[in-house]
Amino acid sequence: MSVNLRVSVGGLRLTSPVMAAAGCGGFGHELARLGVLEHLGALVTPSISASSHPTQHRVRLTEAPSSLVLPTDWPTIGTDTMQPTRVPWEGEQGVPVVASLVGSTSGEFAQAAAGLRRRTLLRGVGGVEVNLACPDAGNKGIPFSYADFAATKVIARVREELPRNVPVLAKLSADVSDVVEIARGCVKSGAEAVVVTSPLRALSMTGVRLSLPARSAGLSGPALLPVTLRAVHDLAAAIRDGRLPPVAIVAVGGISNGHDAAQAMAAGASAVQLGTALIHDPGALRTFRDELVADLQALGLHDVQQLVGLVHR
Amino acid sequence: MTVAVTGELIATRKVGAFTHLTFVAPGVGEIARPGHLVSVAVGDAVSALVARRTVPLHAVTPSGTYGGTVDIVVDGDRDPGMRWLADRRVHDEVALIAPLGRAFPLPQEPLPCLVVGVDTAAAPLAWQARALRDRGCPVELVVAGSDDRHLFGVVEARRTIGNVTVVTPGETGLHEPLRAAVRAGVRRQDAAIVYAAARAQELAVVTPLAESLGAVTQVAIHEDMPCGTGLCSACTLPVRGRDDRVHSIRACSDGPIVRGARVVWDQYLAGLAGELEARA
Ligand code: FES
Repeated sequence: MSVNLRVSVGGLRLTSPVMAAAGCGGFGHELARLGVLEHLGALVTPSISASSHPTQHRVRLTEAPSSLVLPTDWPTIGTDTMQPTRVPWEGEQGVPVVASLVGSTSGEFAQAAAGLRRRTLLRGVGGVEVNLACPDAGNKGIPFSYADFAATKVIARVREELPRNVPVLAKLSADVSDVVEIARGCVKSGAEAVVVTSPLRALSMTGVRLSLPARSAGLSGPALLPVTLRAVHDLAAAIRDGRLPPVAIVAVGGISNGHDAAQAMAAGASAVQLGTALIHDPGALRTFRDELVADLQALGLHDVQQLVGLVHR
Repeated sequence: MTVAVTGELIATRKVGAFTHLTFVAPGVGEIARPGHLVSVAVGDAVSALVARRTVPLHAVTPSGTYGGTVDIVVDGDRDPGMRWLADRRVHDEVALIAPLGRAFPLPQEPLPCLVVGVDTAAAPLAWQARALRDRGCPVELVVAGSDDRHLFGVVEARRTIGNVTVVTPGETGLHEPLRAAVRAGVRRQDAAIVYAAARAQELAVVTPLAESLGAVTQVAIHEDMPCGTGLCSACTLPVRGRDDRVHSIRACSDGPIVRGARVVWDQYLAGLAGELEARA
């Protein structure tokens, strides 16, 4: 029995529901060198901002049980320094590219989006993912994704700057009191899809001596899977009950293989992103399809879209 | 070209404080050169370890009796992931990706070279020294470690290369004796190139010294590399480009071999500070 794995995420058509999460799949050539790029439905780029933010201190990635702790002050690439003639994702055109935008004010997000458009860096970009987990400089550093007014404003400003045919994906945090409320604001202001969850807010500590700074960080990795499933489930349930307008949901956080993806899709996701899983083993992409197909066949399904939201029917 | 394989462990032995492991890994031996890395997934399916461990290849054999092998040297006391690797038994299988990164460049001419290695970073140096000698380069080796049990490859190097200086810490630590050995080694044979493999703290000592003595330095950055494949950007180091601006490059995929003079050591060490202190 042949199985259809094609999905659409807010208008972005993918040949497979698996994407590389922002900052975990490089710009494509790293995965191409490993011979696994072709297995991706889409690739989300590392963080892109209005102007380059180089590394002040080193990105220190530490291990916690079944997870990784990543500092939040990550270096970014500015649209101002990117060469329109040589965009980093060029050459990966076989795989749809989603640009990941970051900023510390809604204005900066808008500027980054405008930079993409004005400098024609949008060439080869199938969609834009807005990373709302960035600290909001205008709100005591509380991430945009924790306050619906802040998230709504960012999405509206980014949406204004981009052509209608470029879908906007809002990346949300699951560790908020009501993810549905934040998602509603984003959808109202023009997001075509929501992505949950960003890394959970955490602290990076390497010891207890006073001289060792405790730095703001995010927790990601397999430990997050149940959290992600819960957020996806709640969003899908809200859509079913009419509390949230219909919107595509993308699951990210702790998804390591095709079986995890099948669960996330049954909970309501149209697609999934692999992050830490690619760092642990980029070869996971090779077996992903078979694992997902096996789960579909066990359910007697021949189209992955029949799996989306299965638990809500 | 990169090979991703599940390699069976066919030999394991203790070498002082370290563990020397040989895996079957077809296809790596044909393309790997000294300085290249191998990235290893540690822990099994139910393990809590997510980051990989990336180490230099110690040696490789092309497909033969065992279908091609790779050898690595790990320090099991370093962290739980290295411990897991050191504890593997013959017939265990481990997911490997190799060769990664840039190898040591070889000089076009037969120039005198000094090769310096500290701790497990010294693993690829006997291989590199042989490659240099095959080019006709006169070669001397400096092998350093925190004590006798943390010296790697002295016996093998003595057998194949001959001129080996062993360095262990003096009263003020490792840096002074290391500096003295490098100074003597460069002067003795008027070395044109110094190849050094170590952690940043030692490289920051060796590099300016060797450059001040007129040698070009090619250094292998020994660093925590959680993916090894260039995906995570957690192994960056600052280097000065031709435009005189400081860029950050990834040690795993843009290195691990870089021109020592290009690295902005102060900035690199400052960035590592918390990490180093936490380990101390
Ligand atoms: S270790 Fe991940 S980019 Fe180098």
